[in-house]
Amino acid sequence: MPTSPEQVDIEDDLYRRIVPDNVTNGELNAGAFSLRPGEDALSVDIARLTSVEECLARAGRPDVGLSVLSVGDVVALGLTVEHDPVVGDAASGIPANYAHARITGENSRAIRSKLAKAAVILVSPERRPS
Amino acid sequence: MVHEQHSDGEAMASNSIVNAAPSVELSQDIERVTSLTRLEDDWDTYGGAPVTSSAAASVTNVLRSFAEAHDGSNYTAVRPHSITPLASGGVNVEWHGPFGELTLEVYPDGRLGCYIVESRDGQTTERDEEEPALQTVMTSLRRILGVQQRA
Repeated sequence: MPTSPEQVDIEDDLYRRIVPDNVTNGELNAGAFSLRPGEDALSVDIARLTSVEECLARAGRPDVGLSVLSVGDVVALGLTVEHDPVVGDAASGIPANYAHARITGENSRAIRSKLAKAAVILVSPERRPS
Repeated sequence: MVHEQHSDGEAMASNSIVNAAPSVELSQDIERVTSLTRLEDDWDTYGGAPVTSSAAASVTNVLRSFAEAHDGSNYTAVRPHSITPLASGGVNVEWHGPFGELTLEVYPDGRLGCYIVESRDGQTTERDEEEPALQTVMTSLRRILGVQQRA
């Protein structure tokens, strides 16, 4: 598997995993694009370098869905997309992911809201019975 | 009658039945907030933190204040469109109305931030406020939703 970063094309699509709490009334909410404490970029996968099935499998959970947004929409918001392949580390349980990319730039309330509106739900997440 | 479906499956009743059980709706929303504190670490598969107790307390205070400002009898008129967790451990609360949208971000430490998109007379304006006063948020919310202040 190659490990060197590729050029991200403006026409590329990006996958981001979603869970039931990211969806309200069938639409994505801003929480789908929020950063965890200490995180400085949103993790996504470049669609042409992976598959829906691979993305979902990386989560290792049955309730996960997938959203898709275009690089063009992301860049139009003033953000940057960088290909950032993950080599993986079996010892620490981090799987290799050549498709991994980072969306860097502002992650404000406005940006998260606009990303949620720009993204489309590709695979709906399923709420597990509690 | 219109029903909105919250992500956790609960039904939101429309204005037409608001007077029937206003406290139930507020209780449902507060329970929704409380449930977010029980999320597991990595709830979003990207390392998201569960909602903090400080954030949950702050959201609950906002919702109770809004309900009180509407005499408890018309909570549906100011009921949020969504209450959702943020990976930071905060909460995102959104209202959608005929005159725009208001997003209230509650930080993990309970502080507030507000993003407002207002549409009037064919013009859309956006503004963002850090640590707004609750009364300011309430005033903006009434404008977005087109509801009147209690007399």
